[in-house]
Amino acid sequence: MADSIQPRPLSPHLQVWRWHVTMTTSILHRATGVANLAAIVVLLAWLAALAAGSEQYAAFQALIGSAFGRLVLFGCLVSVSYHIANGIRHLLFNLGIGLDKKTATISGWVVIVLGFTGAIKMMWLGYRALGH
Amino acid sequence: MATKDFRTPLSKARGNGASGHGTEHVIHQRALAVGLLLGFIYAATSILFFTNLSHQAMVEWFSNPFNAGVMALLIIAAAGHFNLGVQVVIEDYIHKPSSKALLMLGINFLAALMAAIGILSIIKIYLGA
Repeated sequence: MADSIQPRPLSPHLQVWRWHVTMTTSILHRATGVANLAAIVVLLAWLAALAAGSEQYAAFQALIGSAFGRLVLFGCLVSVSYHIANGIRHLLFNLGIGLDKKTATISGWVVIVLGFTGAIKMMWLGYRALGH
Repeated sequence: MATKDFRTPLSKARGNGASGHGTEHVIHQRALAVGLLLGFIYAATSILFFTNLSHQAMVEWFSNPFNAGVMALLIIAAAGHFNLGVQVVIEDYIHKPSSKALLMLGINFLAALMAAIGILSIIKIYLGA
């Protein structure tokens, strides 16, 4: 029976698609959605440290304030910030807004830029709150 | 978009589409997304603009029931939204039924654990850490 089956047409996948920004935003949305696990872990560690007491909170602050900690925090913020920006874009898509190619491409670039600037802004606000 | 609608009035009323289920998954995911968005905007701006992130300032922030409540709901919504989202990712990439079931169970437990850690911490801070 297998002999009689012609090779079926396959749907084009990543390697044969011309790169376009709307595809990238979609992939990034899923990737950052999974990566946001790290952000939740940091948030929960912050809450647990707060609950544990001022000494444990100081230890948490030292950890997140280290070079590695700041890198992880910034990565988490980029992930969360992008996911929020593109999430809003998706909610608008769900309302039927901005689905045409041109608008979707422009909004795609907008959310990528917002993802980074949002993270930088939050980082800056964090430093400002700490009085640095 | 001007194609004929072949759905029966009953299938339209049920609103479940071809698979017969799953609509609630999509709706829950979006409802949680909107909740997360509002909670995140409130918590992030309130904490970043009106505290200095010190232990004392945060304990004070959490002693306000509205703040503690928003943060608790934020954690619950995050756990729920994460659970539903990762479920779709698992469904897309893991095809072996046993691995799929095991992973989904693991994600469910992870989401429950997130909610538990978050809420217990918030209650403890609220009551005075």
